[in-house]
Amino acid sequence: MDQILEYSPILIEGTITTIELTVASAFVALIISFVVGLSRFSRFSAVRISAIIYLEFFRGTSAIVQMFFMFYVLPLLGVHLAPLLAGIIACGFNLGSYGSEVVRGAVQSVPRAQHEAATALNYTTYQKFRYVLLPQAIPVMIPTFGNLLIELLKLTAVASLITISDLTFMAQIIRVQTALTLEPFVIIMVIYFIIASCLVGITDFIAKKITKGRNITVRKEI
Amino acid sequence: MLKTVQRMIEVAAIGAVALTTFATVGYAGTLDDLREQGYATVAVANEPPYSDIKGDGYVTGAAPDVARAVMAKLGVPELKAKVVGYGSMIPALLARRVDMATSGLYIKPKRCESIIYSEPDLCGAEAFAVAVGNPHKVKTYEDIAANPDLTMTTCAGCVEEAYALERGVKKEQIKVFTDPPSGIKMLQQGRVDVFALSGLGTADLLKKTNDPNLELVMPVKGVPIGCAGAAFNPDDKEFRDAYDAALAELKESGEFAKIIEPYGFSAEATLEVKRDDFCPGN
Repeated sequence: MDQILEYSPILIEGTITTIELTVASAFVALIISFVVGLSRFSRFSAVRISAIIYLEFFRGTSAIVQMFFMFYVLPLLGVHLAPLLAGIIACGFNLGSYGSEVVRGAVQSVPRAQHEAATALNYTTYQKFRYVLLPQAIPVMIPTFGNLLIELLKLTAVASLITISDLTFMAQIIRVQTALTLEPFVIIMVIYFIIASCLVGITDFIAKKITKGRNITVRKEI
Repeated sequence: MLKTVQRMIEVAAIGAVALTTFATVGYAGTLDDLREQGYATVAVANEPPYSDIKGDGYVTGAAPDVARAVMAKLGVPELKAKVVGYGSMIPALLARRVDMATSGLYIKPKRCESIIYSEPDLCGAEAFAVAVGNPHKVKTYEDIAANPDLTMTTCAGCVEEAYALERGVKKEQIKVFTDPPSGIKMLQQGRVDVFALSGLGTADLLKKTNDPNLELVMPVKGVPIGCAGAAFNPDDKEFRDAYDAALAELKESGEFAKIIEPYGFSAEATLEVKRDDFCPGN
């Protein structure tokens, strides 16, 4: 245990990197989710098709391969992304493709009558989404987004393969330096679990805020 | 439609070529750039005693210490180390993720096709770790090849894998590990019979594991002594030559021996070999 304590500075550094990576990729993923998800409703077929290509490409190929591609192949074509940026983009783009399906599903789950009502009131497309569809769709998205956020946290462990010194990476260093296996892994498991619990807490908080004063149930209290 | 697609592919191809050329031109004179920015980014593996990472993240170990001394001579005061697996070191160099790699990346003809090396800096014999008493009497790679029931583990893309395959060990007998401690765990749990790695790396790991049920077999006979050098992007010949010159000075002054001997490496073994022994004309 003393040996592990000696390595606590790099563990803390790794935890911070993991959190940074998670938060930054979550923002990227959220923006992509909405842009790609809503593009699926576009009246222009080119936009719809591009959204589908994006979705199928990033959902259909392995995240590790995407990350290696961004880190080791793009520089050969002259595009030089910093490691953390490559990690953020790879995680964000990957999770964003899943998120776009959440957005699309949630918007589609709004009853057809609401779409028709908006049209009957002569709302523009913007007004229809802004005032009728999204306010009803977003509460539906939140539990699934919460799930994806935790999925994202765990996905960041893959970034250790492209020299980002995240939590998993630091655990590997400690393992090699001390030849201990149980302790570093138990410690990072606990740290991952604590971070995940915080993320759950945050999503629950947002869900509560959004449903407050509205007659929509997001997540039933246990 | 087909024409348009063809045209698009052409444009993309030309663009890619243009970008690559541009990238190569933009990187002339690496050493000057490094002097200006005051540090070099170096890929190291996570394998003591070749490289050693302290609790606060500071990287030492025989290979980074030699590189630090050489780079200081060249006017680059600081090294920033990045831990990269052996399998990813060459891609990292080619993609210019790092300026050089140093940490027991053995000089091998296959590798010389894609990267260039400095003169050898660390040489060592090979070793096996086996169950205590060596129940299968494994002393060489040929012994493993002779008994198809035996399995061994080594790291992905490492020379030990090539040594084994060259000496008749079947692919099915080799299970690669992701990191050395996992390899030792596999041996402890009986998933494999033999663990193969560089001699000093294996010895260091066994010392740390401190398991009375394991035994070291060193040196492994029938394989050449492995020598590592600092590795560079093939476009950095000038940088490499400057590095060589500074390394030669270091070797002559005796400072070199002072750096590597505390880690268990023999300076004498290293001084006897040349890069040309492994990769003529690299």
